[in-house]
Amino acid sequence: MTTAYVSNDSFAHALGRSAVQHALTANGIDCVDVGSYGLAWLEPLLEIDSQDGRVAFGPVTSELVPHLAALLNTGGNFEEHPSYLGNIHEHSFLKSQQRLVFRNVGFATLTDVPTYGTLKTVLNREPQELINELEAAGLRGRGGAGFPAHIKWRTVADTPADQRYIVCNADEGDSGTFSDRMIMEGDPDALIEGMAIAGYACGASNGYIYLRSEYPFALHELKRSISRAYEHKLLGNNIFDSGFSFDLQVFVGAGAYICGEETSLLESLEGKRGQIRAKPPLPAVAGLFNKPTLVHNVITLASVPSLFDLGGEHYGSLGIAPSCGTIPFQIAGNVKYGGLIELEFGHTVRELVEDYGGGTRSGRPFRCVQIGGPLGAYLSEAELDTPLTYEAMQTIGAGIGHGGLVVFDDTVDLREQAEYAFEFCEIESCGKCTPCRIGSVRGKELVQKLPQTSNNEADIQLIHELCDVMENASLCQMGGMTPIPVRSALERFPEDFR
Amino acid sequence: MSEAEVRELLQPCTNLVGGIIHACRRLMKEFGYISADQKRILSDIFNLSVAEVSGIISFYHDFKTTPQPPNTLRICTAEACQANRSRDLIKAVESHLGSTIPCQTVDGMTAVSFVYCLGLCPNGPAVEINGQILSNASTEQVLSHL
Repeated sequence: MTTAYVSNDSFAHALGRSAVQHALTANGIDCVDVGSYGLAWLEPLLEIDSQDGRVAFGPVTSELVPHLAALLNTGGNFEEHPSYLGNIHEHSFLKSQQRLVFRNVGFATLTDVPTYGTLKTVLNREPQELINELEAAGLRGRGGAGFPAHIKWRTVADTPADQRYIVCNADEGDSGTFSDRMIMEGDPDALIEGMAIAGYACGASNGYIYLRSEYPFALHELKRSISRAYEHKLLGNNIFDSGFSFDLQVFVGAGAYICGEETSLLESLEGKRGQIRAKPPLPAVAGLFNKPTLVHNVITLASVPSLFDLGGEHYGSLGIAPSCGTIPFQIAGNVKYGGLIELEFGHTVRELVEDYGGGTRSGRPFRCVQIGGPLGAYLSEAELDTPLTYEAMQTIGAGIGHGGLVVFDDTVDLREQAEYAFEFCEIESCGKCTPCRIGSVRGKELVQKLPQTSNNEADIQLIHELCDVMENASLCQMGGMTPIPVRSALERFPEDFR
Repeated sequence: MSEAEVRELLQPCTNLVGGIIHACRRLMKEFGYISADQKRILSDIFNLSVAEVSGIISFYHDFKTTPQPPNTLRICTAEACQANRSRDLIKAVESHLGSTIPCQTVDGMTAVSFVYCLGLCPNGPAVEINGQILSNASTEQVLSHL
């Protein structure tokens, strides 16, 4: 029986994967679940074994399956098939990437038992040594803040406690980002292994993955991988007979963007309203149930196994220090070729938007790109040559955030986008501090009425003042960063506000 | 379901971290909403006041306190889908329904609401219909479910 390696990613499911699977089975082709390579416009993508290695086809529809089956049965030329792609690793979108976090995603079969070889190796080393290596690697939190990971690890490890926790923030809520989802659906073991390594280094024996409820496929894969890891004694008591034990559970959120903020997340995990906590104390000192807690985003933790395989110094040599290593960027919105692009830091925005994205899907002229989710800046054509490092982005009043880039064509109205930024903050604010709770409402009203006022300079001035208050007086980044999309739109596209 | 049965349903959640969130999810799955009586049971099981329980329930978009239609349709309202014309889709759906989202269809069979990001951002607009996700959703496709 022939085997097809079929993408089991949400991308594929949302584009008719189940119909393709039925057609494959009906045509005598066996389906094996794999993750997605991240070429979103080619989903559902599948691969077939051939004498020259795997051959890819995409996008595949159920109607195209009988043709594929006929070619397989007759030994015909695959290139005749309308969705023939050849060796996917030679595809220009994939070939030029530097995949570390995503090294297994796409071809690794989801049902294969993992070895956790990196975990096994590091369990022979001193925890302190691991944290030093993490420092040499210069890994920074990939969730948005870019905080040096080793400082968190060291703080958790050095804070005296009877219990410490590793908490994975899998509440990936930013628009234009899907790398967390893709790693959880395509290689959940990278995350689980990374959390276990962090647990060993920090002296924590318990871990939680806080997953947003909008990701049911990721939940399925995480549960499957966690129970398999327990079965093979890769989680639980005395892992690899090292004396180290680590337990891991998934906690599903209940629909609240703010729970992506680490202290809100901890409140929610404790079974409360997801309202933020004032800092200090930092979660690394007093986090979940007031115990030292390492809170990292999915990609940060999933970077850990490949980082230790590569070695801290080698990892640290990638990118432009102090933006070290690789980061999975995500190009989305109005682009021809959207998807996941893992690269070292330092490539320009233009390379992602134009070389990878291939211009707008609508065919209309490019207008702007929003980087880093709903709290990220809208950038214009003039800023596309900025290198994607934490430092360079900061100089133009922007940030990398979670690495998502959303492209808009010339039909976008930046006044509408600014209004939406305030509205989003209004809907998702936890309500704890006034600048965020009330400022968002007043901001939305102000932006709404701009088109009705003939001389609106005074109102625009008021919006700036409101942004000052939100930026400086909000308790967390939700209210503190909502001014970023608003101001970037006002400053770069003033014509939309007249 | 009797009160004893509801208590039995929620019993396993009491030993879990963040147990009340698990319990609310169970109630949502079983009944589609959390009733006033059930709030009282939650308050008893988790040793919280009814006001505290209400505070938790009202904080999360996933939890409802009124009976819900059997079908759900959620349209992504996030920026990446906006870049692919989701605002036009939303306008068309609202004009078809004759009211603004969130709302229900006239026959009361489908709840139409927004969702902020399904992680399908390169292939917008994204829609979720009874848990099934759909990329590149056209107005016709969406209206056919309403």
